[in-house]
Amino acid sequence: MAASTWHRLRHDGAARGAAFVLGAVAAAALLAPWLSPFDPTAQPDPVALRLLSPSWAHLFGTDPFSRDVLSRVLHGARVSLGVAAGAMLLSVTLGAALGALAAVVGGWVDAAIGGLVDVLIAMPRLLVVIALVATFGTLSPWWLVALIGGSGWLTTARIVRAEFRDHLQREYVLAARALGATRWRIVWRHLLPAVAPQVAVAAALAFAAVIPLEAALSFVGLGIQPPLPSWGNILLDGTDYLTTAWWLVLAPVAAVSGTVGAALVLADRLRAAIADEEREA
Amino acid sequence: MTPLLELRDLVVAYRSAAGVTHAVDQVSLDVARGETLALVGESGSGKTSLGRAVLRLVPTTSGTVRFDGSDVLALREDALRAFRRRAQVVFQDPNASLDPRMRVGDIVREGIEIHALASPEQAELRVARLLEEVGLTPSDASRHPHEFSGGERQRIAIARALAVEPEFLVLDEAVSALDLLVRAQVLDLLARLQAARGLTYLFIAHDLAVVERIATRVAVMHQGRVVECAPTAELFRAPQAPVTQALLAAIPRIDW
Amino acid sequence: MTPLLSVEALRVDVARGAGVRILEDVSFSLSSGEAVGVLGASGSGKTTLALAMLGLLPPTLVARGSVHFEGHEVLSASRGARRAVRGRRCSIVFQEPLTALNPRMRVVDQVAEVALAHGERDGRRARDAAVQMMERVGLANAAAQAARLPHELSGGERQRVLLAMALLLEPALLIADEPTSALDVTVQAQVLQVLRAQQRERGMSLLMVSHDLGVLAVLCSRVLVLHEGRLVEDAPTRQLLETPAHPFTRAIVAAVRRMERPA
Repeated sequence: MAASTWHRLRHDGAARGAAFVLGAVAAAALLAPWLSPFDPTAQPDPVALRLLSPSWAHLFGTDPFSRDVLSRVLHGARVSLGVAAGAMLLSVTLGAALGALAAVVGGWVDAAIGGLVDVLIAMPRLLVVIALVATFGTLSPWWLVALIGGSGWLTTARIVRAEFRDHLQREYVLAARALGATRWRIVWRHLLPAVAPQVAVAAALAFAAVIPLEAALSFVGLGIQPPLPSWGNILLDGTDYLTTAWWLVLAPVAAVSGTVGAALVLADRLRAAIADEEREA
Repeated sequence: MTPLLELRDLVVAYRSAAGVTHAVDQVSLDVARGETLALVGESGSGKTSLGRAVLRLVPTTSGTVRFDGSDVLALREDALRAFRRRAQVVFQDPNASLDPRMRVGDIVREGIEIHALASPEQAELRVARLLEEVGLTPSDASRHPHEFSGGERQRIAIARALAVEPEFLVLDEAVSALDLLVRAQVLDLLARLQAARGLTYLFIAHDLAVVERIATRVAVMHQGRVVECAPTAELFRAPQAPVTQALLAAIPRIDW
Repeated sequence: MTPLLSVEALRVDVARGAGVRILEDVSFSLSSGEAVGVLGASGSGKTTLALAMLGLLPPTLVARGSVHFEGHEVLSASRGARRAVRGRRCSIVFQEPLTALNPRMRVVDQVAEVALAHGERDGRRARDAAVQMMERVGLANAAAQAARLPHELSGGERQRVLLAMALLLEPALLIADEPTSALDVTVQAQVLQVLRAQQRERGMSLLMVSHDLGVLAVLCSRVLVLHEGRLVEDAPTRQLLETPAHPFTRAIVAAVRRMERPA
């Protein structure tokens, strides 16, 4: 019996674990002001309290300015996850819309969108974003969302276009056309639900790609600017003391790899669920 | 009386890398109100393209399609939608023709929604009645297509087509994928519906054996053309075209 | 004389589905040279039955009982023993000729592979035999078609390639699972003719699975009726058509009669 992709995913242990990790990270980000033991920007005593190793008072130690690393990583999650989620939403929505438009309208619209994808896909994304940031100087998180999201829609557009074109040939879409359904009704009622699992895979992968991208930008000093903490700039602060105060990078590295790992596991299990469903159909 | 459907010199050509293929080549046919015209041919004979062209589901190259006197190929927007209410289709493979993500009730209701034929409460009642009419139960509305057997799925597809109260149905190999016994049951259902609703059928099949009981007349297609068209009994008694003779000879006849 | 194939109390269950039984207590036998039909609707277990004869059941299914082919037990046989039988003494053809072929391999190589897998060393000789067999099963222009890939052939041609694979080593038993239901009727008639010729000329046995009584009646002298996993009837074709015993068989015979006799 062919249960739906979503149903399969809900009963997949690994997927549930990954979803739990992502949920926990998101909850930590949302509740950061209440969960954090200290003010993330407060520098209580840059001399006596600097570079303390992990203890019960400071679970992940303190940084060179005597700030509590745990509090900074929790607050950093708000920025890093916010940028990642925003960029992911933007790129997936943009990609789905343009891919759908290309497949449904066809003709010159399809050719134009296809051409744009071909041009943009040839550009190395990180370098383009770095170049743009360097040109416009430092950026607010909103601009970062726009930049990363605006450059990340290509894969989703390709997937949605290919899937739409496949489904447009199927008889259930033909039957809907024969009933007199408009193109947009077909897109909304039949095609989008059909590609939703694939888009979710693309979204999870986009999310997994944006977290390190934001971290990388902040790491080279072009992303989120201090004193606002992000996982990238916390990591940047920590690398100077890698040999003397290794705990500084422990929390941000764990946060980045845990989140990215969970998103990748989720994408992988989702793909497996789609494949299972197609095989049984 | 004028026929319900008139085809004149209909051509459906596809362009591909290999050149232009004439799937349907200069076909002229009439289908009278209330009759069943069977369109029989082997795969690649153009019968499916013809059925789809009649419903404007594939573009036609030239020729005319008249439905109840009006030129189907010239219909725009609203007029085309009005035509779609009157002419419906049932495909061969109910696995492919039913959206697997929708509930049966939503699938059957779609046409009612598109043409705003009833209020939501009335629509629910109509869906229940339609399901009963095709031999299912109203409670099946909340289930998904994969929970049904092949024959039941084909009944769902028939209910969906009937929901807009059409006069004309294209049955595109509608029973070909079904087991023999189920096939007989669905053919019975189609005959009953035709009698009760005064439907006109264009019944497409690759097998003459299937159409013997249900068809008023049979048109045999080969390489895009209609090579023979005759009343069913006559065609089975004295087939004229070699293709018809071959199709008849190929039926595995039981020597009773 | 012992029968070529004998099945006793065969039961097949879904391995992890508690109590989901696909075949229940199926017993029958088939003599050398005999053509037997298995009539059943979709979901009756007829494909499972066909697969069990060769020990080809997927690991999700568990078979109990016994299947003896040429005196050897199939269900408990070692993998090597089963492989030695498959393709050489007993072959199978399926309904869907496209998915049963490797899309990236020339059809002649796929047919020849059967001989190579069973000890033929000379690739050229295997390919020659393959082309010859493709001719014998009626593949028009076999020498030229041989070099093609499966998707370059029509459905009927692909089914003939599969038949050539199945018949290459002249097996004693051919199991055919709805071998013609995806084909045009005229091609179906030709394929049925090939099967009949193989059976008559070589004395090959045939176990043909189908939902179509007409097809079975053309080829088989005896028909087994499978209904919801049980063998409900086993009778000579003539007798089955004239006096069907089980209600399911009666319904099918009545449907066929009615279909052939317009009101």
